[in-house]
Amino acid sequence: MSTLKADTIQNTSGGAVTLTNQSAAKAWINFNGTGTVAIRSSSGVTSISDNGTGEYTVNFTNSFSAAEYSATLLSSSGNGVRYSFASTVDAGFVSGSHRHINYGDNGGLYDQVYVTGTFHGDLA
Amino acid sequence: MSTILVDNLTGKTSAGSITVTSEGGAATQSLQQGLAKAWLHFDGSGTPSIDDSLNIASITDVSTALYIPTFSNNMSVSGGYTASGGGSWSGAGSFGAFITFEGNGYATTGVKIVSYVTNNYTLIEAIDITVDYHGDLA
Repeated sequence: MSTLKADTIQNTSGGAVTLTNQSAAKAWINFNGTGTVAIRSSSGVTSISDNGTGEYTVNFTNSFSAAEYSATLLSSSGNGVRYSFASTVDAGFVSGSHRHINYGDNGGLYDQVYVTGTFHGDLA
Repeated sequence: MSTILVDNLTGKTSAGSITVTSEGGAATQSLQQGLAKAWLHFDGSGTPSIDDSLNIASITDVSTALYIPTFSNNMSVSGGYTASGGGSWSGAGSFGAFITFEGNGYATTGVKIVSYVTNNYTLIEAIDITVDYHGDLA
């Protein structure tokens, strides 16, 4: 078995390296969406903004190259109320941030204790 | 184009940190941070069965449409990782299924999954449930 030790990997032109049949997420976040919103853990995210009840903006550290990236989102009340889900806000796809919204099972908007998102695509 | 054939990649300065350049060349990012730490595709009907997975040791059938997949290697922080996913159901009407999570169950060993049918929010044991996890491993 061979092991390659390196701090930085680039292609021969100094650009992005190709990982055979692999694609890494460019950002992910787990945050508390109640009260003063707070990031528990994240990668590729600088901050989050509270836009009102159940609606947030995740601000990326590095922008995507275009607005057509992938966003998968989930939310949970954390108190046994299981009916909740998250969705991208209309016109929420921009390269430098992502707006999303939490719904309850009655169609209402709710701040949720656990909100998570994962983002894939090409960075600028 | 050059290709390096190697079995393991390890950070030289810090074993758990390798930096890669973005597609557009404007940014750098941690390779390890972007990798999914676990993923799972399982059949939630009856006795749940794993179709394929990474870093999943087993799955517990809690009750109707509630499951706890258990990691082989645990996350470093309880509540400090992401879980995303979806499902499909082959029942009458062929409605889709969606999943969410019980937040109190965000343990380092796994998080409880709940599966619903999309048309009326009732619990449903979907036949195809997929989940991926991002965060820091212990």
